[in-house]
Amino acid sequence: MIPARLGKPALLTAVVGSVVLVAGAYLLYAPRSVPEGQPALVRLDAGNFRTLRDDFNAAGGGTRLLVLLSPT
Amino acid sequence: MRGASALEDLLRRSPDPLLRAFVVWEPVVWSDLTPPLTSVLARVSDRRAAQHWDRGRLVSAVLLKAIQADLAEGDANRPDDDTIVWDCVAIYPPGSRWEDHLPAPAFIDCPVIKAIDEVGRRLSSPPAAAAR
Repeated sequence: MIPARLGKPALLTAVVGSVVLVAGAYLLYAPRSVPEGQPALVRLDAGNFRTLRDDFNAAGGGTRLLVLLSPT
Repeated sequence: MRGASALEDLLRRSPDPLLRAFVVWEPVVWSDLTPPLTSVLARVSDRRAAQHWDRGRLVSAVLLKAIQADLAEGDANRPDDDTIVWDCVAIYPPGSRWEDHLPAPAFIDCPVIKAIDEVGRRLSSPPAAAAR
């Protein structure tokens, strides 16, 4: 419910704020699914970094590409 | 983003079943706050790819060390310690192992969109892949 005395600037601020909140929540909680057939997305950190090394070495029978990209 | 699409095109053209692509997404600009969305991950759909979100840019750091170790001090191409390795593609030939340190790649270039043709050439002629 919008208070009767809420002016246009305040209303605009409320709308923009709501949009930002919804967009932020979407970015934070939207699913991150990799295409079918690929292993699940790994969120690397110091605790599991070794798994990347193990996977890299396990694939050593062939050529490997290491590609570093920015999501946006 | 164009780099991801270029990589996908390359993988589509490369039939080698033993080829693997380790795709590492990392934050570089202010908008890289969160892991890539499903729509972004879908840009690399090949089954030979494994995708990672590297919030702390750990891979960039170890790859930077590998590149630095491979180049002499004073080499004009030697990157600074604060360099972020991104939008780059590196090739590791069969048999190359990551022991205590990630080895220097046989080839690396950036940005991906410009390097991808050379990567394709090297993949289609395996002996050349090890050449610097």
